[in-house]
Amino acid sequence: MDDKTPVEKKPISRRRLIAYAWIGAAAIVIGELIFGTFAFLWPRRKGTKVETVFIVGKVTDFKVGEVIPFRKERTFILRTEGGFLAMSAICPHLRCIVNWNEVLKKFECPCHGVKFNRNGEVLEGPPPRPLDLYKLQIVAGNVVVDRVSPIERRKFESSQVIKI
Amino acid sequence: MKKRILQRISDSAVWRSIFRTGIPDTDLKRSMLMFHNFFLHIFPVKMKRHGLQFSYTFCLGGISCLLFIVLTITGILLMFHYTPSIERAYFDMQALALIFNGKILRNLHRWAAHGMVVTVFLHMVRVFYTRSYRPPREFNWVIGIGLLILTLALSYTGYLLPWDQLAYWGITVGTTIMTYTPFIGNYVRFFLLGADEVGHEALLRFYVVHCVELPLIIGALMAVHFWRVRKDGGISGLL
Amino acid sequence: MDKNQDKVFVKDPNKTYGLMEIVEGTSPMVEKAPEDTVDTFPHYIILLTICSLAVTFALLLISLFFDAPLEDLANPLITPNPGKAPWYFTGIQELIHYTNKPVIPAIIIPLLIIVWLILIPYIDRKPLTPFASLFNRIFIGGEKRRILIYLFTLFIFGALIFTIIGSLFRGENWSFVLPWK
Repeated sequence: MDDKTPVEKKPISRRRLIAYAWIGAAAIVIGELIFGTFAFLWPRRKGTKVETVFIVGKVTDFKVGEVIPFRKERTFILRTEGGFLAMSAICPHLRCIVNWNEVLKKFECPCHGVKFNRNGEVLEGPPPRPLDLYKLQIVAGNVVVDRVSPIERRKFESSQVIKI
Repeated sequence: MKKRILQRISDSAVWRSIFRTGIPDTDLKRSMLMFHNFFLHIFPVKMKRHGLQFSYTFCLGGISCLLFIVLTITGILLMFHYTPSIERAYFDMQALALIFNGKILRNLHRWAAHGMVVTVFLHMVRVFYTRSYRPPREFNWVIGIGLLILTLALSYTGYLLPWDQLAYWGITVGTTIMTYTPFIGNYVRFFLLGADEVGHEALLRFYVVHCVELPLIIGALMAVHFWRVRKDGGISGLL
Repeated sequence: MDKNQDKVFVKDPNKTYGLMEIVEGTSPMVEKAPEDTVDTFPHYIILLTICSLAVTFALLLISLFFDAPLEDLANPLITPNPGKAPWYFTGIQELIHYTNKPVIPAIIIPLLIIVWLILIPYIDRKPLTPFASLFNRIFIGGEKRRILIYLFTLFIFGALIFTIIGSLFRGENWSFVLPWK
């Protein structure tokens, strides 16, 4: 096919080439300026880390079935039959702080009227997933929670409970 | 007697060097007064009589502009007593009550901001129902939509500055909504707040955006908007 | 402009001059039809001044009698109950509370509305092709733009109703309350 229809490639003229070069150079400069501005404004990750590990208390301090809020750490500790569950108080919907309603035994979010059950599962309202979990460990009879990276989950499973 | 004094003043070299025209007692001088004045030259020299009626535009665009001017003046004054840091912002707000006129200036700024959101929106509604967006005014309508969005953005960024509970949670919820944007959501929030949570970086960023960036952009767009109103035939048809 | 002029002054083709019209005024008008205009300088500028002063005065009165709210110091540990967005966003907050996908009311719907608003002057035009005429009939509704007016009114009242519900009728934990109780 190629030899039947010989493609006559016009050589690019000198004027054209220089025009293209100018346009290309201008594009590079503008691109660099935009990129540079955004890179300059891009936030620096903080080097100093906030203390994320905190000691909740002794295992024997908790009664079975109790939900204890830790306001300062924005964490709820749930003591179940078999063990412990550490849940973040930050609503997975729009980051409001949920409250524990002792009468109804529910978590309530003040922003969009969400209700969670005691395991952190959504009962009613818009959130996309249950309350996030924090890493929990039991060290020498003390309950220790690390808030460094919240664990997202689909639903409550008994394997999430840390056994004593 | 009174007239002669006025005449003397308006004929004096100093007056003439500033205002160019004398007492506007003829049509020519009246037109020149409009034409040669920097602040008045955005208006046409003559206007159609029906365009002066209140019900023709309800003065909504003009009121929006006036509120913007009020906001600029009160905002600049408030900046003298405000520090954009989470340690001081809230207490600076409280201290405003102790400053002469401080509270009134803050109230003026707040209510004018709410009022501007209302009047800009109503202005859009008026323009829609009178069908004033038809050619050649299409692009001015688009600029107007841009001005509406910028007004909301200004109002929203100013919302964080008092650093009270209302501000903190309003911004927390609002910026978390952005994280639901597909693909770039989390980066947008991180970029806007300057950190993972609303804190000092967010306050500083919102302060700069609220006090410098957005007013500059909205001012430029307003100039284009008014200029185009004139170029596209004024408020009441071609003159 | 020319068309209008022709209606007013019918020119005699045999003459190089013609009687125009005697109009009351203080200056001669050349090559223009008599029109109902007034000088901007006294007429409009006075109205502008009165209107500006009235608005400023009203604003001052409001600021004297109503204080801008200032709540407690920001506290990342406690969310106020109810936690509300500024009033111009409570409509969106109200919509968010109905769905478990915030992206729809918070991002997609506002974006679509903005795009639609921007497109209004470009779709509300005289249709020139059959396709454009069909398009016009669906989205505009003819010369009287019935459908467009209907949609726009719907948008305004929708925004208004959701904003009012969100800002006045929502209490603790975003449950429905009556504001007068």
